[in-house]
Amino acid sequence: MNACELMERSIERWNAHDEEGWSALFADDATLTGPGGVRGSGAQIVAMFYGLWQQSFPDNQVRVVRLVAEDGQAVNEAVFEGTHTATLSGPGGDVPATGRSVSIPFANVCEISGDRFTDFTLYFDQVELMTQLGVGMDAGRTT
Amino acid sequence: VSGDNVGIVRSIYEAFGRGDVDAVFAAMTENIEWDESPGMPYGGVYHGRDEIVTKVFGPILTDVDGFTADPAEILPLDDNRVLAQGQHAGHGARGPVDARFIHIWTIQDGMVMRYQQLADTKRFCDAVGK
Repeated sequence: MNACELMERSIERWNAHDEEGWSALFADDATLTGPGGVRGSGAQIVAMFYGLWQQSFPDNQVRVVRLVAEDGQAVNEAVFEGTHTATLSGPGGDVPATGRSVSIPFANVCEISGDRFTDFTLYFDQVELMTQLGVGMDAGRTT
Repeated sequence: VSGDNVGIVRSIYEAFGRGDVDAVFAAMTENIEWDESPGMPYGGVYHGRDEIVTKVFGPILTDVDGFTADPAEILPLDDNRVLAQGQHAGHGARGPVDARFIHIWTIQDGMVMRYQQLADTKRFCDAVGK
């Protein structure tokens, strides 16, 4: 599986809400970084990340805008779309279900070794997410 | 071509770092489109030097003492686009700025014609108090 195929497989498993299949695409010591100071390595952070989004937006789908990949690295520009029907537990606090639908552009920059991600870095606009959820800046405040 | 584009983008960060705004904009088309993350206090889409300086650069430099944008990595995405990922730093009214960013630069005929930002906006806003 090359870098492009790995990224495509990852998105396919994510959209199928297949935690086991998605998590299996990460190396045992993979690092994962996200907005708000989220950073860690290993299966625990991968599981936390998956649960954070899949539980709070259970109908979510990732729509790829552009995917660029070559040996050892992949960049995915995409949009996360879903309905917020359960508490979103972010790094700075909980945002109870709002029932609102969101459409949030994001980008992943990933390092790859063999058939698995070794580093997975996510970028998105947290304030825009809070705005679309209709909650104030104090919700999930990080500092 | 993609290697040249990486060099162009690197030169923009270097120019910004030394406060050389003329050099920053010399690398861009006159009507460059500047797409700042909507969640930033200066979020929006702007065109050209005057609007970008007035709506983005000026307010940022007012709000953040010692503002920097340091790219940890600059990568070609294709023949026309370059990605930079790195860290915004400095000191805002409520504390230090420590916000990661990704910038996507679109380059045509050796000139930057579009900039798009995705940043850790909440951490930035928390630091500047906006």
